[in-house]
Amino acid sequence: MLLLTNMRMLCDSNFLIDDETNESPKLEELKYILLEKPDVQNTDRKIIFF
Amino acid sequence: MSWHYPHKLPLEEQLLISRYFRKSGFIENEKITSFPAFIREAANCKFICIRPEVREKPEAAFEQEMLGKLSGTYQPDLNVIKAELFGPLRESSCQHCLFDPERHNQINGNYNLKNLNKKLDEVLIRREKRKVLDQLPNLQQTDIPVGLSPLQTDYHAAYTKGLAQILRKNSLHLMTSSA
Repeated sequence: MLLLTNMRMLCDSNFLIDDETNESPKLEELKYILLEKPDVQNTDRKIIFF
Repeated sequence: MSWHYPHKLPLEEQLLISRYFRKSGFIENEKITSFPAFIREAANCKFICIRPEVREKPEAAFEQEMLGKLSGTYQPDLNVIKAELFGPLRESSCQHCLFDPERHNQINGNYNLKNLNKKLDEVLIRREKRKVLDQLPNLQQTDIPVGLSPLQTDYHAAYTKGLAQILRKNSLHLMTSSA
């Protein structure tokens, strides 16, 4: 179970497994989605993350 | 922050360095907050390499300076906090909590919640899903496949290998115990 949990976590970011590295294509994609599509910097829309 | 290059640099890079370092080989710690601009400008320079730890230092110093400036000028508006809304803790607790008659501070239940919700209405946005469901847009789900980075792939492969070993060991154990 521990290995499966680790595998799931590292798909988000390997920082969750090894705090000396931090690679997260998911976060990069999220940043792109937030900045490009809803243009969060220039709107007053609110976003909730789960 | 210091720099060193024993040979002659191309003119453009030499000018960039002298703009930030003047004639010196280093920048004092008090002046490194201007260094992120140098990092940005040096991004396309072939001969200028900046170590990752060097990038972090001026960014941290810049953030620290900005926070310092903000804390000197920013006054939080505390008027939005209505300290008088509930009154003394014990008194307001008694209006809504059912205390245990034997154990001190043990709460067994609550009552008068409508009144509490009414009080909270002006300061707390609390809406029940069933009441707002028809106002919400339809749920949309979009799957966006994102690949793993090479390092993530390595970690994933190592865990998969470990998992496979455990499964193999367990299945062998099951086979030998059932035989």
